Amino acid sequence: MYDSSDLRKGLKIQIDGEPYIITEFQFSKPGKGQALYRCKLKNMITGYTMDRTYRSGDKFEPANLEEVHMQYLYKDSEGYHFMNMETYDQVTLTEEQMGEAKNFLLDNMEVDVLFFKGTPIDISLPTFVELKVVEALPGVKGDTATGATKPVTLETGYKLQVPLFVEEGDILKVDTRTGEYVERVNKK
Amino acid sequence: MQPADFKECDLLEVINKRDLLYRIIRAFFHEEGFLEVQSPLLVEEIAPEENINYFSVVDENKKAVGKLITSPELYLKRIISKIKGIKGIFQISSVFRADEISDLHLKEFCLLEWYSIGENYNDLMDECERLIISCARAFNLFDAEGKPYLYYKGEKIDLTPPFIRLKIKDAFIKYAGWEPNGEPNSFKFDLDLVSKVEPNLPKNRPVFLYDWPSSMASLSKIKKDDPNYSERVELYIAGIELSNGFSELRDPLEQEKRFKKEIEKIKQKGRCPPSLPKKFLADLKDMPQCAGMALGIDRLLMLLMDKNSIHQVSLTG
Repeated sequence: MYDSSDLRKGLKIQIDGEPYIITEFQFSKPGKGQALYRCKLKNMITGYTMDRTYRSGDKFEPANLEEVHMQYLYKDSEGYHFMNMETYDQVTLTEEQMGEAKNFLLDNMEVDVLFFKGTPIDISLPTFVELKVVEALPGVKGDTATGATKPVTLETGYKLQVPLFVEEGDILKVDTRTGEYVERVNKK
Repeated sequence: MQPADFKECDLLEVINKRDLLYRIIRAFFHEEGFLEVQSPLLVEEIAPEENINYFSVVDENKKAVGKLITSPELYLKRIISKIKGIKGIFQISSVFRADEISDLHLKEFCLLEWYSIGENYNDLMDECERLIISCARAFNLFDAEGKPYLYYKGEKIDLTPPFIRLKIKDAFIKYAGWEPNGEPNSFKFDLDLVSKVEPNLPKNRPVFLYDWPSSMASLSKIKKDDPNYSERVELYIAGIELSNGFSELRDPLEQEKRFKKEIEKIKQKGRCPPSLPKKFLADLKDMPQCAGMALGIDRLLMLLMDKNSIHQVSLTG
């Protein structure tokens, strides 16, 4: 069981028998008022989103999900294919089910596939992934001003804003929760 | 979250700026004729308040030794009930509230609390304006013409007095579309306060929200012309609640009645209420007319230093 104080972005809870993930979370507490836990929740099966506000002492069931460690194989018209490395069973997730996760997926990457009642519904990525820059405009020489950024494309096709010193061929650490650049790891 | 990892703050900068802020506040109140006091933090009596959770303290043998103050209010009021001939008192100290943690909340936070003898909540608003402006000047926050400003998250906040003064009733009508008359549903009130009123308050100037529903001001004097509302005021800067004050309630019988109501509400939630603060109630009959304000020092410092989180300016957790 979870308590209101466990609520945070990314937590998966069960509501009316279905799994939901908290996509936005805000704690509010007026000085003399009550603690309010405001959540935006996404149904992990239907994608339906809703707002809910909880109070101190509210209790929650964890979402009844099974995590299976699997390897990403390839993508085709049906979707994204994963393989259980022990049983060699294969499952497929649609583009919609993958959501933002598809931006960080490389062939042979090992991830956790989440099953609800035997059906795969989502994947759980590592918090940080390291990906190679395949396209970058050259930075302006000598420009070291902090805060200045430029767009680059990663090997997964994902585009993001990075500091000006990043070049084609660099390996970047990316936060999969926010999709943002963390640091340059090294040059390939 | 554990305090004192010092990970989120630039330690030297925070210590320097806190030191400056404490000096400004002390100079301000000494100038106004107030005395600084240190009332106890580990106490026997705390005010029963429905929405403020406290810490109980035990010794090494698990024997109960008291509670940590959630505010110095009761002891400061007892002090001014017993001494005469002073303008007012103030305290700067840690206070402790259980179950509060966010970018704007610390379990242990620094509170400035002051009591002005013979005054009411209108005077508190004036004092608050002068104090905030003194702090801004000390932090070099004024423009070429000498006007005090605050720069917070890219917004320029004009501190020229008077700050905006808005009745909570009018703020609710304007931003939430309803009037919190009588004893409003506290869940609906709090939710609309944080989701509709606070985010829509003017950002370019500080705002006093005043005359709160009496059911949300258990230590405050009720308005003579409308008992639904009390002489309570809160200061907001950049939509952030910074301070709370009252024209203080001085009637021991009325105060006891309200404390008992709070105790009942705490019991209904299945939590353990503090006992009725009898020593405080016994002293209250001698308390002169006064007004008191509590102001969050960590939040003020966060605003003055233009930081996103209270954890970047505090060494407590």
